[in-house]
Amino acid sequence: MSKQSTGHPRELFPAQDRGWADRALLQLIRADVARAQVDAALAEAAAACEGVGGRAEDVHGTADAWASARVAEWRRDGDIVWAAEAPLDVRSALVSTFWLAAGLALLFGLSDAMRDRTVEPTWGYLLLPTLLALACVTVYAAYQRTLRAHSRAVASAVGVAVAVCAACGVAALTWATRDHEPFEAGWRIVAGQALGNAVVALLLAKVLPQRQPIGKTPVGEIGAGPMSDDRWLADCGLALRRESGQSEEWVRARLHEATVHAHAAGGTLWDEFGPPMAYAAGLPRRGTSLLAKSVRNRAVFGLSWLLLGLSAVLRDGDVGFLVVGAVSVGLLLVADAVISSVRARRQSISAHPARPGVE
Amino acid sequence: MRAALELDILGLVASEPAHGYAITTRLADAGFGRLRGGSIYPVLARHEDAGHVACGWVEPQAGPGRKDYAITAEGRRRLERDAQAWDGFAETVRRLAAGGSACAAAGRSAVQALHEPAHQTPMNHKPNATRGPA
Repeated sequence: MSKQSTGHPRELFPAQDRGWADRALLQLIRADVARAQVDAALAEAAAACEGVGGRAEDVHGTADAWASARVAEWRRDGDIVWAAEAPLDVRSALVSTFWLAAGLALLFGLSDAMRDRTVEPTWGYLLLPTLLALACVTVYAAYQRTLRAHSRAVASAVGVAVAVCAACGVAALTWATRDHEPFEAGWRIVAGQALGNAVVALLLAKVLPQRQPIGKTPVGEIGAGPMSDDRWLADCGLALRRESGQSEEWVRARLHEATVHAHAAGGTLWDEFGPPMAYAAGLPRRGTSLLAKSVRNRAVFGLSWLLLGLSAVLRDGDVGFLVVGAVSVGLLLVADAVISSVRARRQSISAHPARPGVE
Repeated sequence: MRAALELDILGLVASEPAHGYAITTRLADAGFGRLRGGSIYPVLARHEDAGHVACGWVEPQAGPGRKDYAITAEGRRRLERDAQAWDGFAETVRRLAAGGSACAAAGRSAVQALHEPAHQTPMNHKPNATRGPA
């Protein structure tokens, strides 16, 4: 008889198998499996080990192989076990902006303290964390909004254009206000920046109604409730372009096919296909999607380091050790992301050279 | 029923190319009931991804263009293999229902055949997975 769950699924395994359970859990979470399904799968794995009386690695193979096999099985059978990020709404965007600003203010303050330096608190300096956070969230929101109706390439171009505009705007404001120092320099400035932004984030989170879950959510719970066909297509398009790793032609064919089917059936897309995120999650993905995520993350980290370097130049007016280091790390990460992306694309093309012939 | 859907859809497009809505209608006529697009298209997409079917756009005289699915040589091999496995499974179920334990050994071999990864059958049922819309 299997043990009852006491919370974390690793507790169902004996001490010597907990490393295996942790690794398997990590792999399933990375593959966007919903947490409830991860726990259930691990509970099954633990029960199988207990039934056979063997170590997890002997019964199931390595944790990576076991997790890959489960993911492949769910995909093959069309089981909806996945979790995804809900599209960014106004509340999430605003709250994220001010939390990010609070974090950046602390980082800037820490950086100044480590270098034992006193910064002239101009208006540009006071607003810099908030403006940079606003720029980051705006870039992400613009990218995601464009992705609802256009290809990843178009969305990336829009994201870059918005990033350039935002950087120019921040630079212009910092330069224009360089002679206005409304407060005395000191640690209170940093505390005020961090606390002020955190308080605004808390207030916004309290005041603005929450319309959708935060973080990764089971796909069936995202966009729950009937919606217009236009919204369904936008949500489904966003999910497919973001997660599937398939070409734009493939995505558009799926959306067109769904529209034609709903039209022929005389119903709405919601009636025929259910929640858009759940439908998108049930369609096959390209094997490079995990790699694509990793590439995207590296690109985002790289751009963050570049922004950090840029902000340091704007604040200090000279190119010091911090700037060279931040820009170098940023460039390395972006270059690595580009190289990985090109390699993944080549592998994808060589794996799917041509469509099989029809009999 | 869901497990049989994959094989049945392959069988339907083997006789003649068909688009998704026509497949839904034919399945309803065959007694599957009213199936939603959310049940059919993921199966078609997986068949297409696996190279079992190929598709082409058809522009009708009136209305929007639609995608017709046709079986490939690989799909036909898969269909024959899975149809045989299902025949064996159905025969075993009939014999077990009629004769009880005398046929248990034959039943075990049929069930083992259906457990092979290439097959999509009710025996691959996973109780914890949420099923797509039906």
